[in-house]
Amino acid sequence: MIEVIRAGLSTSFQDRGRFGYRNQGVPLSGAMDYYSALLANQILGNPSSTAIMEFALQGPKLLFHEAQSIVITGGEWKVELNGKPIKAYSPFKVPADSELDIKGSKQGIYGYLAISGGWKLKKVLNSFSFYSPVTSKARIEKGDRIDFNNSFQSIENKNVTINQNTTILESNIIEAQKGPEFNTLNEQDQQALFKTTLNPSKDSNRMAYPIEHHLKLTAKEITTGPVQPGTVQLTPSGKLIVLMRDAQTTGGYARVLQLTPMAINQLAQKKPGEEFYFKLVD
Amino acid sequence: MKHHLTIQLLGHQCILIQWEGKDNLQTINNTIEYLKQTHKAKILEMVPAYSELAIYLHEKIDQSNFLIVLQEELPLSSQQAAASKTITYEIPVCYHADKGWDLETMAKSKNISTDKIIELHTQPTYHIHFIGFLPGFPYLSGLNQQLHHPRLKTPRIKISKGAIGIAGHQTGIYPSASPGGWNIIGQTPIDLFSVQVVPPALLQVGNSLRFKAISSSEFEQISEEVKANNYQISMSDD
Repeated sequence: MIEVIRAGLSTSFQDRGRFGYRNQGVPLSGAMDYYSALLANQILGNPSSTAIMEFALQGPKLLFHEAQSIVITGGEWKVELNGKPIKAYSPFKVPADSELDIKGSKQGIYGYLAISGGWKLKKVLNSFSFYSPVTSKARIEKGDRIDFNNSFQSIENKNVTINQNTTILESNIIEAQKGPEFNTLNEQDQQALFKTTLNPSKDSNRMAYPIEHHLKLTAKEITTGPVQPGTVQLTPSGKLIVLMRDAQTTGGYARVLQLTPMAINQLAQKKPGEEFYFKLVD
Repeated sequence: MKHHLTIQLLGHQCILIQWEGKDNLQTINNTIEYLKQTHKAKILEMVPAYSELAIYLHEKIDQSNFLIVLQEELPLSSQQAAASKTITYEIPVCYHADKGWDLETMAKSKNISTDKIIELHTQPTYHIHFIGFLPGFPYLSGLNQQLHHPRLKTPRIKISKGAIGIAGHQTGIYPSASPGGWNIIGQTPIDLFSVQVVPPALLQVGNSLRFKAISSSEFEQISEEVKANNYQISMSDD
């Protein structure tokens, strides 16, 4: 079991997402950087459906009452085990009565902690992902205690062949396809979208990343239609907004672009002010 | 009557169907029923909106191939269009001044009585086009034109769970407390969304609802029944 000594800025449990309830207005949720979350499970040999702990910018401090195999992925995190730094992307044994301090990230926003066999969590509407008000909490809190599914098992000899290309997350090219309302933009604006540097605003969160730009764009509101994570909306006042994992399931703004699945993971890791370009793909 | 439609890929494992025109409720519901029966194994879930339907496919299904299949099968012929049964829910609403925060202001600005507002609001049968914005939040059609009213200039930081509102030409119910700019005319004590129930959203697409005025004491009574899990919503077949 772990005990939460410090919760961190925004720490929650997530999995692949909450499927099957979108037509009832329930967002997908799930890990912001799903690439890194999946990698954590793969390194430990967990099924991809296993829940992971997601943290942002400043991580939690956890007391492990029992020993467990863990791995940390996503960005470049400063992590200490009983005061000594440990490496990410490698399975690690945390001994019983140890403190794991996930301090901060030099690169990227979101990080992931997976344990061998996963945690004993309750599914709500078919998923472990935290999302209020569907789950009772949006984040973990100091004092929370969470059990492991399995007791410690050594996994050093597991034959693990994984694509650990994590530099892909640092790319400043965010690939996107045309959205249903892309063609309502004039040709000049269409081209400008792909030629300008952009960056996430400081109001970015799990629901949406508003994008700062210097373009003069506008699009009419649409009759409310379905949207999904990665949908890029353009408002009549010229705001560009990229919907992320906790976004509403329907929306009334023009859908000008749709990010590819990998692009959503890449954008999720971009800090406010970090520049990128959109690239049009088929 | 055939409705012109377009079908396109939209992101990961998603296909978007768009219909022309405004009166597509029956067509969309028929299409959902047809797809549920014909392609159950391929389709993970579907999200309708006013004139659109998003189809989310299971991971292993080829998105482009399915697009071609849809292009061949849609639009439905009148024979394929299933006659779907609809239910009409009865939503109890207390329009008392302590719950209908904007009722007086609305009445004054329209030069009618608050009783008239309640009469106009409870008269129609509203159609549920889709659920979105918040878990369980219904998008309805059918609001009497006399009740159309612009949103508040400054949204409130908190609207109560169960609040009944009007904004523009829409009326709706807040399933949970939320910030909002709608004009609040009453409150319902019933739960519109609960994770303890299957399905969690009370109001399902393709059905209808009516609002029924109740007193403050009836509101308290129903609130108790809801808390004790004893409340049974009134429904009728159309």
